[in-house]
Amino acid sequence: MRRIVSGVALIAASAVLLHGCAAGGGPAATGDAGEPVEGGDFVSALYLEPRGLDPHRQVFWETYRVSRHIFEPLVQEDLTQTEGVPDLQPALAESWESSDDGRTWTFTLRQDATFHDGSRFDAEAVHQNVQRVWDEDYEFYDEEAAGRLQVWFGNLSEAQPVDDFTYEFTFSEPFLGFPRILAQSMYTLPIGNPAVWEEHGNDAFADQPEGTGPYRFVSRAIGDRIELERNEDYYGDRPYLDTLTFRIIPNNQTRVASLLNNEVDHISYVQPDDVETLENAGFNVPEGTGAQLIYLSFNYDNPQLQDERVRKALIHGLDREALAEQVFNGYASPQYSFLPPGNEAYDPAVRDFEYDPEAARELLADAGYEPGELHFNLVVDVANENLAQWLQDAYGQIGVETEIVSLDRVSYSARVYNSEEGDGLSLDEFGETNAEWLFNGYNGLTGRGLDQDDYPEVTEAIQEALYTDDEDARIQQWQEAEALLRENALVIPAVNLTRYYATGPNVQGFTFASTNWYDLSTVWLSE
Amino acid sequence: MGTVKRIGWRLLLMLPILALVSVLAFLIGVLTPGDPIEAQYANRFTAEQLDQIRATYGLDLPLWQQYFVWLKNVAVDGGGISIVLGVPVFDILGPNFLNTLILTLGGVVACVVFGMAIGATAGIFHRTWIDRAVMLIVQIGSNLSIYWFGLVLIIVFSLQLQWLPVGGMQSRNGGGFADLLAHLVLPSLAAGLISMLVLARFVRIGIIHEVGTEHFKTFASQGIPRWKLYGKHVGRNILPSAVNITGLEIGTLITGVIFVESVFNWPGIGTQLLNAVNGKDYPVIQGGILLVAACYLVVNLLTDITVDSLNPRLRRA
Repeated sequence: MRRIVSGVALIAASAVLLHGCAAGGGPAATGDAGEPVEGGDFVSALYLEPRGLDPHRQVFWETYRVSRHIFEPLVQEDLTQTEGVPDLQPALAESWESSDDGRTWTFTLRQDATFHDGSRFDAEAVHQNVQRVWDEDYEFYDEEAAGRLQVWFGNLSEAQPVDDFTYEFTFSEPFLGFPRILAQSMYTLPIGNPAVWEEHGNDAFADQPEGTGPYRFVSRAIGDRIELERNEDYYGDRPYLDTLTFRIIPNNQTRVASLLNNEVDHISYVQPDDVETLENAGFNVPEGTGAQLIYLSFNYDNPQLQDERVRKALIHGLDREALAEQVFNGYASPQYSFLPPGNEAYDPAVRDFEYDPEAARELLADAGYEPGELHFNLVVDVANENLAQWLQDAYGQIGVETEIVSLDRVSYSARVYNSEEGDGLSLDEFGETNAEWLFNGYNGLTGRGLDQDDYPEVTEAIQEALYTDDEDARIQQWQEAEALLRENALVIPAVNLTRYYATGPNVQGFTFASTNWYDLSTVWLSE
Repeated sequence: MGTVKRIGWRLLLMLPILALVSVLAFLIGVLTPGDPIEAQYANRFTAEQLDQIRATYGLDLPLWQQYFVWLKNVAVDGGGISIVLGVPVFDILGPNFLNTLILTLGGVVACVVFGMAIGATAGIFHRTWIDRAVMLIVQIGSNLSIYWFGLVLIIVFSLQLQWLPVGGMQSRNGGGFADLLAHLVLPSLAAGLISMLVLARFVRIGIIHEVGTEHFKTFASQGIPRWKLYGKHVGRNILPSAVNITGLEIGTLITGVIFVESVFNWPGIGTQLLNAVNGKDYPVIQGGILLVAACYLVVNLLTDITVDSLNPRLRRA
């Protein structure tokens, strides 16, 4: 989350001196300032270097926040929605329907879309995209992309064009969640221009990415910036901004300072300490809920934590409202479900093992630990040291001794994959809007030492929900699977960040959508 | 020995050093904690698939073989392919390395200009309050964190006074040499800070020493104006050691540049190395270290040549 250095306070102080009065908390979407005007160059500052701009290989939200303006999926989510589950909308497919058994999905494609080189988008183009990630006999079959998409396309048994603008997927199992998965960012199938990989090869695609989107790729300087320009031939609503530049500014203080100094118009991953500074200086820090969850993972290689009573005690011992208030300055909401807000199966009413230090102490005594007898390491990225200190104090109150192991980012991820004796909890961040995400999240726990065979009922419930053919029961099945996971105390959901982006005073039409990315084609600059 | 011969000899000596450096760079990359393939692909692939990917990067070979494969990559294949970004290493490091050189040059200029000026001021006004005041500032400055100093520069000159940009190399409407210079000022000051203060101390001591010599006193007693003495005799005598110190300090400066790049978002090799370390991107780490080390060796060579040419005794020999 953040790293406290004296600089933050200094920047805060200076910004207040510089700009004076307050502007107040904003809604999820920036307000109207008259009629939208066309034109202008928009600069966004990302907190991470995006990975390759390849629709089938991409990982990281920051990558997709750039690439989704270049590539379009068949189905998209409504990014003007700021709350709840975003509706599905037509993108390159005008409509879609499934067979009664939920195994075959037929997409009717739009007929007026063209790729950035002017070539026609049609069912054959979709087919080449599918072949690239699925058909080992295809000349440009891409093993890397196929490996990534395996998680959702592993059961794809047949895929072919029905006619010029109709395409059909058939899975060996029912797959009711398919359309929303097509609208996600990673391990899925946004449509790239096949002519590019057929001419330059799969590895070179990311150097000259082409799709059908409202913006086209201009240039990329690694470590510095990615530049896009408006696609004048776009079939949809004409975007307002002439160019989009994504600058890469990993340093939190510098990113904020660049916004304060009007060198950029928009930043990602606002730190809780900077929200007030920015608002006082007249910048917008829209409030919202992304489909994102910060959670604590148990180290299942540690025998102490294989005891369900201990895990429950650690959940009971955590006051998540206080955590959100004290560590995140109130710019986060406490979470009790492993499904993040914005997820189809998210139920804000569910509770796991609520804050109850007395119950925690009893569970620990029951498990055979006198106060002070249970001790383990809190393994954190150095940026989260303040959160770890807060946890150490909280767990001290239920008689659990913890030692903070604060590591740089590299050593942190190495350490959680290959834990050491005595390691107890680590911190993760993930989430998507599709209910099937639970399958991803659950698989992710195996990277923390969880053996899914130890929890057969959870594993089965997830498999069942994944392959259900009953549309009416689907969401409920996922909720039941999540409830089982929660009752087994397999993970500690912590918080969802409610301030994530900030925009300059003249940025209009930006929406903090209830997913993990945004649409800049509706944004315009006033003045 | 003639100058040409000396330079030739130095160049020859660089070869074994470079070989040693290449081994070290290789090992540092490989011994970085964590596994790049796991970091990238874990949870999505089976163990066999991971092994397969490792094989495509040659990570299944014995270390010594990996070393020679890497050497070959460096020599003919653009340093190998970045595991994270999937493009040749020197395509990533090349442009960024140039940016780092620009910033280093800026740092050197700041170091020389301010270092000399500060040192000369303190030296010339030795035993006055000016000397004491300057030396107090030097003392404090030498103990500042570059990271913190960079933030203070941003707050004062960018956010408060709004004279200079916060970060990057170009304005949003981009371009031009003047624009680049504007972006270069603050990072150069931050990068050059520690070195300029080291240099200032040497210059000050040098002046104090020269002013105390018999020949200086003799000239001074003959009524030659002080400014002439400082320029012609003192300056000339302390110049070689000033150059030497500056040359040595470039090493310190390059280390600092990595932090400066982060604070000022300068798209240089330091940022790339940090990213590479975060992604356990061996080829980029190795290529980056090799580049920086080679650069250091070249700077050392140039410093020696400059010192030689500033010293008439060596030139005649």
